[in-house]
Amino acid sequence: MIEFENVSYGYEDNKKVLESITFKIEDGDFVGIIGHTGSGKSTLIQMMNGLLKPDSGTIRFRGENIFGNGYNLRELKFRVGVVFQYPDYQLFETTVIKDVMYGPMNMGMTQNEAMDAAKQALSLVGISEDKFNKSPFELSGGEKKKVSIAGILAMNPEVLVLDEPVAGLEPEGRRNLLKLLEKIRNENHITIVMVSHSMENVADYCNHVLVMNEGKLELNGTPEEVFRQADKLEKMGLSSTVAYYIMRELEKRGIVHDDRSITMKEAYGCLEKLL
Amino acid sequence: MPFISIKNLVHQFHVRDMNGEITGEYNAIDDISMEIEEGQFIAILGRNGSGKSTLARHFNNLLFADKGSIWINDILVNHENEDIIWNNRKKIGMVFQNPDNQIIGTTVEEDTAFGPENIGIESENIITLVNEALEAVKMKHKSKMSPNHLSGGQKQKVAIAGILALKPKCIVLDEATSMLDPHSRKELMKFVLELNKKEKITIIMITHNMEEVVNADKLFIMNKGKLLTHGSVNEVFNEVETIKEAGLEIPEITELAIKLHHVNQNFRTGIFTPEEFANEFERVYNEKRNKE
Amino acid sequence: MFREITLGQYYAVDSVIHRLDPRVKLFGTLIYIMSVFMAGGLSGYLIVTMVYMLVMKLSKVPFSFALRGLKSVVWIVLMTFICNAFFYTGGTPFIKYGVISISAAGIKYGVAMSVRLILLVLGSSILTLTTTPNELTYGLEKAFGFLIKFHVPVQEIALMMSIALRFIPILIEETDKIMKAQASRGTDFDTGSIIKRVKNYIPIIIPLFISAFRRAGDLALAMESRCYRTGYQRTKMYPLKYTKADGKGYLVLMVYLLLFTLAKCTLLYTGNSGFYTM
Repeated sequence: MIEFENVSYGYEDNKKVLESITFKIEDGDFVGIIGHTGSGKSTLIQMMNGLLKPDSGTIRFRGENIFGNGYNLRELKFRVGVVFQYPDYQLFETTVIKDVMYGPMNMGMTQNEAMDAAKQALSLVGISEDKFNKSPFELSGGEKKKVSIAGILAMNPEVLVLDEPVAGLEPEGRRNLLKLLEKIRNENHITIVMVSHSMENVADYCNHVLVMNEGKLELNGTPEEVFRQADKLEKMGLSSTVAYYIMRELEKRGIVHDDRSITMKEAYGCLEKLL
Repeated sequence: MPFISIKNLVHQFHVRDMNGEITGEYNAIDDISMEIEEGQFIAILGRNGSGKSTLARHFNNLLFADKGSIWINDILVNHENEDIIWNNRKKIGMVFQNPDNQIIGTTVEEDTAFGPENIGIESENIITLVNEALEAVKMKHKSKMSPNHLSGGQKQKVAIAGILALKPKCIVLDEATSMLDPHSRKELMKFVLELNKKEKITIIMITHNMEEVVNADKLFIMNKGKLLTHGSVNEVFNEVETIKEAGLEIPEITELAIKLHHVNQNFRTGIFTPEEFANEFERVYNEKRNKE
Repeated sequence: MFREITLGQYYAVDSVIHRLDPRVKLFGTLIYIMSVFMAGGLSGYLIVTMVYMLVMKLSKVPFSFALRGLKSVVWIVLMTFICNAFFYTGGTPFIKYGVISISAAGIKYGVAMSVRLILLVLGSSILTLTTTPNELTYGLEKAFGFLIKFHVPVQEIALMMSIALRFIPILIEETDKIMKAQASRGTDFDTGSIIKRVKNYIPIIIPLFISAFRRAGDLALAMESRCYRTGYQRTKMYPLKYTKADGKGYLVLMVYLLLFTLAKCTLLYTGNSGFYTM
């Protein structure tokens, strides 16, 4: 559904920000992008809805070159919804409902249609009706995040791209939000792309992982393929999951053999039987 | 005598309606008492709105008690006595959450000098203090740089240097790691721990991340303005229900150990690293084999 | 990218002019502006131009770099010329059409005014080319220090200026991020009527203001926790200290001012208009 082919972009400190990136995202994927600050993750997601144009290479959405002649880039922004890290950079209206209606109104919906879309999106993310007429600035951090996601969902996108959605949230809010994303993907059939710093979150929720390092796509595969390459990840200053390290230690001690657990759930399933 | 001693502290916030009229009040800090010894590494944990940041501001005399009292070095904090306040702010420095919003100077060294300049130290002495502080945080080579060119983690180190230049006894980190990526977060924690061990500076860490505080001497857990529990890391981490009530989460590995403890009572809890875990697992595993 | 933007146009190189105390340079700029206003005729303009060239040579700033500063005023210069050349009523016009009257004297006057404006801009840009915004702020603080006696909070104003300098690049970067977030919700900045376009900036301005206010609040707290208080005399890590070169600088400036004023008075008195008009 989204395809990057040899995409390169920009220069900073004599290095390319992105260097010849090639990958494919399929319909219904839950993609996790990991990498250091400055590895090119943010640049990558800003290309998915055409905010940034690559210097060379092609980006295709449903087979069409998004920077090709006559391609409607404005409409692409409604089909590939990008949620940025800080909801404060997005919320501006006097009430929650009006803020969520902003995108739909820009699409050309009527007031009533936009209102319906906004209500639907807000109930999907779990914002109760009594908060619709509150100022978005009175909400808690987790609620603001949800409203900012609703603001994108109300445009009914086919892909939802999120830059570090759980950063700055507390443990409870974190888990809620990840569960919500899973629900949006499974029930509303929206493809999810998420930039994350947490290996655990990516291992738990994603089915496809991209690892960026210094502008290059270093690893691209299933969570199992990626997190079993701990040495490679460590070389980039990243790490594998805690569950993987536990199992590796136990394998060294000859207790488990060729175990493939990368999440705590899997590790528990395996270890419980041994005690 | 304890370094900081808090007795029955209450801090009230007013609730206002849309027009700014006071419609009620609630206790952001509700009758808290605690003692902090000099040289300790203390962590205060809680969810947003638990009152932990409000409490932190009392240490630095940025806020004052509505009821109850605070002693710092056995001197009672009195909001009418400016000398005590300024002295306490020199003694107890504070690192805030947002790295950008606490750097005042347009260069790294200029920012580090801000504190000493405020209290009227002479120029030559400021230069010495600033150089020492920047060396301590390993940022001397960036002293002439604009803070805008630094990473989040480096900015927090500059903020710490600005406090070190005032020769403090204690540093309060008010969610200072929450906007950093995991790598810078670990590095900053390592550095703070070093300050605590080598320079004997008291560290008070305000956070909602339990993984960061496994090295602390003492933990305090807050909820709704009250102290839920306190104790050593091992003691507190085993109070699973209290932690849940406070909206916190113990590290996944510690949780796994607790789960396995329920499967086999011999499996010890309070485990924080994969090596520790594997060693314990090996021990219990072999024990079981031998019995069979 | 945006973090690279620095305010002003400081050219980092080591020169006699760069090393001068900012107060000397402030005083010098003032004197130069006065001399440009006093200069009237061809010879006067020649002298002030030569003085500019000399100082530029000493500052080691490439002339092409200094010329960039003119870009922003090129329209004002052009307007000045047109206004003076087309609407000057003093001379005998060789073209007259309604209010427009073009005469040789008018054109001369227009040229003179434009040259004066260019010299003013170029001359005062030496100050910003050779002084960092910080030094400048501190120089201003010291130069206007006497105002404290009249209860003007000079120290506080200077601190405000330097904080503004620090936050401008941050706010510019933030604006870029907000624009991208709103563009992702379909905000269209490029089409529509002027009113619609202005309206499209509301979703940018509100988050920017809210963020700026939050930053201000945070910063105030951070400053207070680091022992800042208003009205209390602060010290400086690098206080401004006059050197011998600064003394010489003042001397040169005084002599220049004196000679220029003398020449001007003499010429006015003797009625020799060569220095005065073209």
